[in-house]
Amino acid sequence: MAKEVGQNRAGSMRTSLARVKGLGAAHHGVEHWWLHRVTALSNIPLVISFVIIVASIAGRPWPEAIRVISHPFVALLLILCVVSITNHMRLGLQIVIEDYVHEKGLKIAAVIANNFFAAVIAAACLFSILKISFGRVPLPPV
Amino acid sequence: MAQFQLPKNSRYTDGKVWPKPAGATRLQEFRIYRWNPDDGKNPTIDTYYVDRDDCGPMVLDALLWIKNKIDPTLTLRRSCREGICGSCAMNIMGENTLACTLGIDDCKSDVIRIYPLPHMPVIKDLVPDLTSFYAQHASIEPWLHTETPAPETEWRQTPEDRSRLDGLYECILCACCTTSCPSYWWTGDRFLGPAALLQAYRWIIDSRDESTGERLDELHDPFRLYRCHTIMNCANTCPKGLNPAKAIAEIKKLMVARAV
Repeated sequence: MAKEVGQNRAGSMRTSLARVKGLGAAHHGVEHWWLHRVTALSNIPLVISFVIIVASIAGRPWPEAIRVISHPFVALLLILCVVSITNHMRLGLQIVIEDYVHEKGLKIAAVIANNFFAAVIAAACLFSILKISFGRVPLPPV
Repeated sequence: MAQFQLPKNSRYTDGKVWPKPAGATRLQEFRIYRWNPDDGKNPTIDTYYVDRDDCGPMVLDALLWIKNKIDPTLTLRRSCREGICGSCAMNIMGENTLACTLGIDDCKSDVIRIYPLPHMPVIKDLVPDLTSFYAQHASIEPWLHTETPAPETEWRQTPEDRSRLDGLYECILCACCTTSCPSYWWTGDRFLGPAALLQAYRWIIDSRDESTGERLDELHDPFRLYRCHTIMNCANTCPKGLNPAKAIAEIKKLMVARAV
């Protein structure tokens, strides 16, 4: 049996205009969009610095690598890089989830999990950088 | 999840191959999507041969030739046959366009494949259900909003202000752009789609309108506006050569302009 024209989605008797208007505009979204762009911009110099830092310590002895990372300027760059990237990742992945996951419960769970994931990654990276910078990391015997 | 495959009852198979017209020397093959809501069967792709020497130059001419001379049950919308009514929008050779403004020769193919506009419920054959599309257009209130008492004559506008509506007012609401947008395919129940947003922008930048802020308020939503990911299918497919993606980008800029 063919469905009524215009009733294809829900089969309810609401008008199509009522369905389109739904719960109304959320009146937010510009912050998400703007921060996504700003972090995209900040990612450019920060990721380039990250690559340079990693390349400079690749293959070098452990104490030297520690010395580079614990330099305040290097540590600061790495911290900013982590903050910028994890935020950008969180915002971007949320868009992907909202695009493709439509079941209400699953969507909310996925968005929450995404936030937790980004926060854990950020915390772990920041903790590592700070530990190396501030801590007396025991040097392996030479 | 978003649907990446057609539902079981929408998957099509090869259908009837209609006989070639007798005595024709210049034939063009068409494979056309057929679905009848009343027979309970899955859609099929029927094959038709059109006598080019007996038929006009446009794809719409061929469709009407088929309807008149081969198969009167072939169902499609059409009216003006000159690209101003937007009725004959359909997917031809993988691109949404108007059958009336696309030449058969321009398809440059031995086989011309025609489907209804993508990802919309089908009413019959090439006729999609655009109810929701029209409601989305209505939801942006596409008319002049004013509070100032109406002047004795018309609301006035400078030639420069009028020229800002060029590239926007020409939209004929054929739905080619909206139904070409993957974001609209996945979240068309909440994302307004390129056509409605282009129309929204047309009223947002109308110098005579006094509801600019309220119009932006109504679009300020993660789904209504921000599902646009600048995929640009809308601009590529528009048979009128308009650029809905740019209009949407301008709305996003205005959102930032009033927030930052």
